[in-house]
Amino acid sequence: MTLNPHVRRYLPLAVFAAALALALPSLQPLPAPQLQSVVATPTAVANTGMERRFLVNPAASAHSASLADLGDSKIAAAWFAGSREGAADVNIVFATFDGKDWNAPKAIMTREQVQRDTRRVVRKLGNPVLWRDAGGRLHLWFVSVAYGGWAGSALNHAQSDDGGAHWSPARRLITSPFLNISTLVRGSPLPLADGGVALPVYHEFIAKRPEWLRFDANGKIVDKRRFPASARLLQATAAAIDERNILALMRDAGPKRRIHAARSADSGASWTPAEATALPNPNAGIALLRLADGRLLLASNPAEGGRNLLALQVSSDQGQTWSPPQFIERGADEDEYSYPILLQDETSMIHLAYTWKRQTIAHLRFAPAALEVAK
Amino acid sequence: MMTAFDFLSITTMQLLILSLGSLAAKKPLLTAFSRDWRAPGLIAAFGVLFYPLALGAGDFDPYRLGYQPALLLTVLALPALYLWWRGQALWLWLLTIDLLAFALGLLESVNFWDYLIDPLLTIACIILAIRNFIRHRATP
Repeated sequence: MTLNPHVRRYLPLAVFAAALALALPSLQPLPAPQLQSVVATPTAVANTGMERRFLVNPAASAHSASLADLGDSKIAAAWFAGSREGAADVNIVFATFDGKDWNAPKAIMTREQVQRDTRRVVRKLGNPVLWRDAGGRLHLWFVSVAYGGWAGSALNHAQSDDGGAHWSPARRLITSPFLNISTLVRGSPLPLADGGVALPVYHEFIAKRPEWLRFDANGKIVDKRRFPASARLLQATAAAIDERNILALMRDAGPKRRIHAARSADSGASWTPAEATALPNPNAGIALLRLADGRLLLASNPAEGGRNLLALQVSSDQGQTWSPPQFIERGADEDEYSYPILLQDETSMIHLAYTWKRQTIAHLRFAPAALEVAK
Repeated sequence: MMTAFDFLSITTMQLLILSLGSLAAKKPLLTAFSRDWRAPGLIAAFGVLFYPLALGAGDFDPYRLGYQPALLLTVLALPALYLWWRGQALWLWLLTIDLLAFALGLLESVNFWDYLIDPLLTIACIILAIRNFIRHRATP
């Protein structure tokens, strides 16, 4: 069959126009991000004590905890547990705290299960990030590695509609054009007013760089932005100061050994170049939280080397200055108290979870008044 | 949908189908790639620049443009339409099929770059560009 020369000439143009019409919804300009409203509310919990609990770890090694508020004084934690970091038997485990005790953890993502769900080779799992959205749905982001070290990580997502009892199959998120390698996650997300979410992620292959991933209300990635001047930084942890302003603090894998800071005045659409603060950092994970009373709370290892010191610091001026460290752990040089994560629940109680000597996850619960003591 | 092949871009799949069609029909359908060095050279040069930048070599991440691809599509559509006007419809067809696949979400990725280019295509284009350039120089 031979096409009429005129039809043959204009057919590609017609099909292109049809494809363009079909793709039009994806070609609309992206609305500027807006953070969910942030209201400062003074808290009145007067208790100045700190309760410490250890979570039951189902394996020899535990690392990288994340927390989510479940309401009614309940919280949930996820971390990775196995014979050692990076081992094939590492699972993402999940446990809940009912206000008094932690229940027994259960594996919610195993290597085999993620391999089946994503139909990809998976050699190891790590870095879960847990978050509950306004509708009560729990989200879990975590990394999986097919080949090589952590720099080869890919990002995955699963969700639960029943408080973590059951989880959807893991879904691979495509964030890199080269075999989808090298996107990792560690920091908690910030909710956006449109029902979407902004998630701090980072990149390790070729160069370490923190990035800012934006999802729409359907969980589709709609933007990815690299923090400017951020080479050798990673694991940004962000706090919304108000509806427009965000402070992001980053772990330093470079020679300065200082927590770096970047700020956004447009809800994460753009960022200032990352700059070193006066806060020391031994190339270790940090956690930043905006408290309900408007102050900022930082958990970190406040030293240039070693992860044996873990401390809290408070800022009342949006991160310009910080109170002296209030030490939570002061271990021997070889001890590790690392990868803190912070959460303030609906009753204003603050929760800090962190890796305790790589053996388990420690959980501290305290009222904001406990921080006043340190000032 | 296309999990088994989704490490390949739609462009690569189209070129593979056209290559197989050339073999079956015993008629060159892809002379821009089989004989000329300029088209594969352009894709190769682009890939060599694109992948390191997307993988963290600098502050600018070109992969970002693929999540909201209006600008990227405009930049590609203008030369494709010009070439079509000049009688070379191949580029407009390639772009059109890529765009259709993107609109229909045929790949796991929601980033338009993954429909346009992949590392295997870049490597193939490097080899083709070098081979065709050497042949071109050797032709009296």
